Amino acid sequence: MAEAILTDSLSKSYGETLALDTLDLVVHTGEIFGFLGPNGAGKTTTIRLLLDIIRPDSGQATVLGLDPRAQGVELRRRVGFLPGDFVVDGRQTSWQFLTYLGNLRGGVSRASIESLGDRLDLDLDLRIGSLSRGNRQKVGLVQAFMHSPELLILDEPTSGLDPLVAREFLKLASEARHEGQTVFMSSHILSEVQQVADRTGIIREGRLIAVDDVDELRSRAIRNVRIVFADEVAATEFEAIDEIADLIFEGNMLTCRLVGEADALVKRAARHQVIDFVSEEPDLEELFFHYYTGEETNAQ
Amino acid sequence: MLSDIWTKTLWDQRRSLVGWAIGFLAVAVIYGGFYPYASTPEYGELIESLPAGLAEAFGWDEISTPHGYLGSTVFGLLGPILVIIMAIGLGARAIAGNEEAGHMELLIAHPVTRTRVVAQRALALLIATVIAALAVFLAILAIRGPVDIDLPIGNIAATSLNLALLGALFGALALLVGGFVGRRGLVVGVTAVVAVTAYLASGLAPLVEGLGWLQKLSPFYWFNATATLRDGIDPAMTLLLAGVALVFVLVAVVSFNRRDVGV
Repeated sequence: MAEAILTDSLSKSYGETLALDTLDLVVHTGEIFGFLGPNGAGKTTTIRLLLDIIRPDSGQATVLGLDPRAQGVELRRRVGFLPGDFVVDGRQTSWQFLTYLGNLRGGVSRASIESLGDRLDLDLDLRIGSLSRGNRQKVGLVQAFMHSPELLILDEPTSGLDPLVAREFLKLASEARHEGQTVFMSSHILSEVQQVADRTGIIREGRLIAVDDVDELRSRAIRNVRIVFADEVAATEFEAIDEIADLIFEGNMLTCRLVGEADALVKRAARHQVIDFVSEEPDLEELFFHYYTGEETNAQ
Repeated sequence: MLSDIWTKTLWDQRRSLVGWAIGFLAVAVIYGGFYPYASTPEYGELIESLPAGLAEAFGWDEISTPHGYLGSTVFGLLGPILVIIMAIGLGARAIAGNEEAGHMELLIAHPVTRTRVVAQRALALLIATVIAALAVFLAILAIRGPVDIDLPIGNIAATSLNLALLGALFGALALLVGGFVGRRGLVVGVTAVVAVTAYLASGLAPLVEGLGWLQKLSPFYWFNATATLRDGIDPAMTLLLAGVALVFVLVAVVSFNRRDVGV
């Protein structure tokens, strides 16, 4: 079977700015692929190139075995797309808007729109202009999913959603995969992608710098950990743990950076009375800084 | 109404279109209704006192005749200005405005060609200018008896058709500019400058020795309401208006197909 998405040395610049630099990306049919990167890394540019909204300077993309330029209509018929900045005319109800978009695809069943609206808790009869940002984003999700496309291309799908709805979205994505659909979603939040993706690609400054299985990514995960003990604890007890770095003790409080599994650190800490334990995911920028510098991205 | 791009475009504009139609009706009724005052001898003398070339340039030399009056007022000044303002607004919104608002990206990510988007938006634009011209036509028809405008209905219809096409032409020009750049303000500006230049060229060029030929390039010259009201349709001029509008749309299609959207 053809790969869902295949790009070959795809490059794009806007004026002097190189937005995408010889991107080679493969998204297998039937997987959830998380496309990670900080804002401005080239995620949206990639997505727009796949849908023929913009054209590459060089290189080539193939989506569902089709050429975005020459076979664009056929390609886009089989794709559901959520733009990163989902804005629509507010002077219409969600129903009217979704019906219109469905008609552009040759009609989409009422039931399908209704069930998605229900799951995301969206009132379809309200004017879009009266909706909150999160609710507008739901309209965007419904239009991307409503025709059960073979491939979902979602640019920052959870942006603006509250955590509960974001979780419902992640369920929708998982279900789509079970139905054999492929999901290509961009995000700048690692943990969200880790929950559902089979593989992730990390893009930075227009270059794909890593493609990992999610398990692999987890084994290399970085956490900022802070532990507060009831009593004073000797630093030497923790220095031997391989997975931690940047160890600092301030009185009863330990802070460190954890790379990889938490097991050894937790078991060592458990010998003492622990008052507080905080493990935070660093944002992507920090992650890149610590982890991918030294590879080919040492721009900082 | 939600079945295709052109119907959706009209549906989205329904309120503004109703407003414009009422405006065109009112302008035509009120402006046209003043004809009895223009046909008095005193008014004729006033016009005669103007420099000969000037009165001619703006078609005031026949102001006391029905074709001269309507041709320099409803169809000569306010009608064209309003229909062009409306058409430029719609034409600028059709591509550039839509793109700038962030709506175009989603539309062209659907299984539609850009050609279909531009062609259907052009169709919606033509329908809007036809509605405007129809409002003017019906208004003139209504006041024809009471204020004694003695003109064949066919001539009024032909002039109204030309009015729709004149608006469509400048609307298509706005589409064309939008085919190249996705900035609504720029599109409106460029198109408006071209429209004003064309208007001045049709009126003033003949006054300047050796520049008379220039007026023949102006859509306002092809439009020539006074002559159409007096003599009926000139198929060549009507076809010219329609043909140039069509060429503008084709160029818009080609250019919009070639460029990046929303960057």
